[in-house]
Amino acid sequence: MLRVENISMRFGGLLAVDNVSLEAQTGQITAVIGGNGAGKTTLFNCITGFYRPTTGNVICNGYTLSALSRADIAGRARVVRTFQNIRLFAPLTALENVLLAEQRRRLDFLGNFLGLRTREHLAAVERARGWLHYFGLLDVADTPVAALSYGQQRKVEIARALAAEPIFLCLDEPAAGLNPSESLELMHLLEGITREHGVSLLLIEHDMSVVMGISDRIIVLEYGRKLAEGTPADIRQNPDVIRAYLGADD
Amino acid sequence: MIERARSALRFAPLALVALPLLLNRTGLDLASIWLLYVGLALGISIVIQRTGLLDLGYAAYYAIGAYCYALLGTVYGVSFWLCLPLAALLAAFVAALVGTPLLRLKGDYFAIGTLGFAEILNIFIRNEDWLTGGANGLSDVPRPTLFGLDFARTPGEGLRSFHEAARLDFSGEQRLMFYYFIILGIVGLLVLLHRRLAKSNLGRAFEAVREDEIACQALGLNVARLKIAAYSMAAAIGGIMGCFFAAKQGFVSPESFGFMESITVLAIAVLGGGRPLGIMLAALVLVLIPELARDLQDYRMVFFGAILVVVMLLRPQGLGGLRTPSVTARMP
Repeated sequence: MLRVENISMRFGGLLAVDNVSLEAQTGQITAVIGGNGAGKTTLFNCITGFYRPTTGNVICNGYTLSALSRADIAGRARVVRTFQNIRLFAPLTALENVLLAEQRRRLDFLGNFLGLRTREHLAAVERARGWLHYFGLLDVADTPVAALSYGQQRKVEIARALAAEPIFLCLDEPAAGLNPSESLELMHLLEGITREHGVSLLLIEHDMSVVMGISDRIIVLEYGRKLAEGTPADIRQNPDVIRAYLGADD
Repeated sequence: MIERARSALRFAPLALVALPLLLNRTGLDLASIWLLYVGLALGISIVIQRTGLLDLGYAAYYAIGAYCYALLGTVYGVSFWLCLPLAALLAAFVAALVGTPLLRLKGDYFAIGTLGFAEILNIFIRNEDWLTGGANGLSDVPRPTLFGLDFARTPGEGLRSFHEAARLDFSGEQRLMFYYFIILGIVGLLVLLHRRLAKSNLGRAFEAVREDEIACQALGLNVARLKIAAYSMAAAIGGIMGCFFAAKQGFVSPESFGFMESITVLAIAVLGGGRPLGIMLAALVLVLIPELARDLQDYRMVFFGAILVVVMLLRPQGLGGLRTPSVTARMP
C-alpha cells in the first residue's frame, strides 16, 4: 500500500498541494484526476522524491519515501515513475533503454563488464524482450528510440519503468499526446499490467474519461485540495465533481 | 566497398606490430608519441563522449602518473612494470577524491572545476621543489627493463643488457622499438577495454547518464557513483600514460602537463568521435602532422585549428562513425 499522509507543498506564496492524504492499494489501479493546475503533478513529484514536500509523509513498502533519494525510491522502495514529457535515452535502442532499468546492483556492472555472469545477463535481456513484446515493440527493439513515434516512445518508457520491477508504478499522464484509439489501447495494456502482472498502478490524468474504465479508485483534486474520492461510479455521481470538474449546467 | 575496407581493418593490429620494421629512429619515436596520444584520447573519451562530462583538466592525471613513476623510480627504485598499475590506482584514487565534490557541479561548472584542479596541481608541481624538482623537473628517471634486461650499451648494476642476451650488436633503435611495443600493448588493451565498455551494462549506464540524469535517478541508477566510476576510469588511463611518458622521456617537468596538453587530448577525442579507429586517425592528424611540420613553428596552431574546424563542419559526429547498439534483440 502506498500511503500519502497530509502532504502540503508550498512554492513561495503558492500552495500547490494543500494537506492531501490518500491511499493506493496494492494490486489495484488508483487514478488521481484534476484539471490543469489542480496539483496533480506536484503531488506526484512529492511521492516520487522529485520534490521534498513542505509537510507530510509518503509511506510505501515500509519506507518513508520523503526521506529517501530518488534513486532509492526506485531501487529500494520500488516505486518507479514515468514522466509527462517522455524522458528516454534518445540514441539508445528500445531494448537498451529497457535493459538499463534492469541494472541496479553494483555486481551486475562489474560482472558484466568483465564478461562474467552472462546467464544473468541473458535472463535480463529475456525479461526486457518480454516487456517489449507485451507492448508490441519487439519489431522496433533495435531501433534508436529517437526514431520511434510518440506513442511507441511512451510505451518504451512504461516498459522501461516496468523492467525496474516496481511494486508501485506511477504514470504521469500516460495518455497525453495520444489519439483516442492509441489511448484506449494503452489503457487496456495498463489494465493488464495490474490484473495479469500484479504491478499496482498510480495514474495521473486530466482526462477523466480515459481512466474511468480501468480504475478501481479515483481521487479528484481541485486547487491543490482533495475534492472527492471513491470508485468510478461514485465519482461519476458525485455532485461536487460534476459541478467543479465536468462543469455544471447553470 | 565499405565491407572490404572493414575486413581490411582486421589486419590493422598486424600492421601496427610490423610497423617498426619500416621506421628509422625518428619514425619510431613519433609512432610511440602517436600511440601515447591515442591512449590518452581513449581515456578521456570515456568521460567526454560516453558519459558526457567535459573534462578540461585531464593533464592532471597524466601528470600524476608521470610524477608517480619519476618519484618512486628515482627515490625507491620501484620498477616501471610495478609502477604502471600503481600510477593507475593513484590517479583513480585522486580522481575519486577530487571528483566527489567536482561531479556535483553541472555542465560548464564541472568543466571549469576540472580546469581549476589541473592548474592547482600544475602550480603545486612548479613550486614544491623538495618533492617534484619544481620547474626544473626530475631527471634520470630509470629506464624500463624487459625481464631484467637493460637496453643500455652498458647495463645497470645487477642487470644484463638486451643486446648481449639477444646476441645482437648494440643499437639505440632497440630501446625505441621496446618503447613502441610497450605502448602498442597498452593501447591494444585500451582498445579492448573500449569494446568491452561499448558492449556492457556499465558503458550503457554511462551513456544513460549523459542522456538524462533525471531519468537515470527515476530508474534507481546511482548517477553520482556512475560519474565517479567513469571519471576515475579515465583518470587511471591518464595515470598509466603518464607513467609510460616519464619512462620514455627519462625526464619529467611541469611543462609537459599544461592546459594545452589537456586541450590537445580533448581535441583528438572530439575529432575521433569517441571510437578507437577515429581516435587513431585524429591523433595521426593532430599530433604527427604538427610534429613533422615543426619548421612552421607557431603556425602549427593555426593549422591545428583549421583542421578542427573543417572536420567539425564536415563530420560533426567525429571521424569515428555512428554508434552501434550494445546489445540486440535478435542476438543477445
